Amino acid sequence: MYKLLFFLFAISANAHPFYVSILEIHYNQTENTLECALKLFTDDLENAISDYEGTPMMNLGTSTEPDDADKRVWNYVNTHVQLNNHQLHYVGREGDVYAQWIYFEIPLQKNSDAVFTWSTLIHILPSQKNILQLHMNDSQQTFIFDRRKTKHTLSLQP
Amino acid sequence: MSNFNAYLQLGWDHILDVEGYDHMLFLVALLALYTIKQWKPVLILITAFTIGHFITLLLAGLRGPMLDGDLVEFLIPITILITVVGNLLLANKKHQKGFGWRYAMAGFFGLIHGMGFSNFFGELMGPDADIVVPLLAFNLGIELGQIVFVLALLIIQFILLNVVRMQTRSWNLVLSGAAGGIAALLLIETYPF
Repeated sequence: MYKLLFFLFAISANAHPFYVSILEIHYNQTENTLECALKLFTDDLENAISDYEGTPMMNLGTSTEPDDADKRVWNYVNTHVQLNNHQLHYVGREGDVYAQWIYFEIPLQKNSDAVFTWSTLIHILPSQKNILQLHMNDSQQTFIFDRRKTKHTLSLQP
Repeated sequence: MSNFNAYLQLGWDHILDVEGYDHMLFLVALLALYTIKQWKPVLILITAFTIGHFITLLLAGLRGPMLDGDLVEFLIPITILITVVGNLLLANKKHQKGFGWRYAMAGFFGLIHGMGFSNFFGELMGPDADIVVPLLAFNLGIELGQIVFVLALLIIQFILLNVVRMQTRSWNLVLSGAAGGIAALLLIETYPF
């Protein structure tokens, strides 16, 4: 009986509606750069950074968020989003207590296939789905990153 | 992958992912009284649920009035418990009578469950995003995922009733009991007040 109760409690601890993030990438042909906008739920991002750094919550999106919030958010994003052999450049961040939008750019070195790795929030949320929408040459492609698959090969040929 | 296929897969995964099992729990509670011979009302029930879901997501995308997320998480186990109580009250009756209200309930519960991720379409997609295709694909994925789950459930039931000779009433009680038990725990965990 105790085992059954424990089992029920263990699975009930995981119930939640829908965990998701969106990354919009637009290719800028003039500058040969990928312009990226990453949108995450604020509470999820805050939990993830706290878990990653081993630090207390920082009240993101409120007036009491710490001065180094930008730096810590970017440090977290930069270690969980990668395009192989490319540098990510932080542009800025905006948001409120519901959602955070983080902007960055990736200057392309050569236009070929490249492996994109994206694992934000997955380490704390097993059902997290990360949706990448790549806009390039008037076409749009969508890629889903989750706990089973955190890498996709993007074709970056304009 | 196209945008349509991506959202179709998200809807499918959302139903069938063991990490987000509250939808499956609701389906178990909703369908505990039915057998595979009654596939028509079963299909209507889950479609009613999907339509309710779709309406909420559409409202969210259009930034209509929404309930608070914590309240929605609390309401979901309540809808499951109401269904379970209905099952127990109807357990001794003939199947076809007194079931009409369940279609309306399924649609209404779909409305509430849909609010669980309405915040996604409201907050993350942005005000200018084209939400119609993602919404349609997502809900189609949910419908397909539900059909597969329900089919698996009814096949297991068919085997238990016809091969193992389990009583229909026992099946109802086991499913309702399990769904009710888990929903009760969810209720404690998500209590927002």
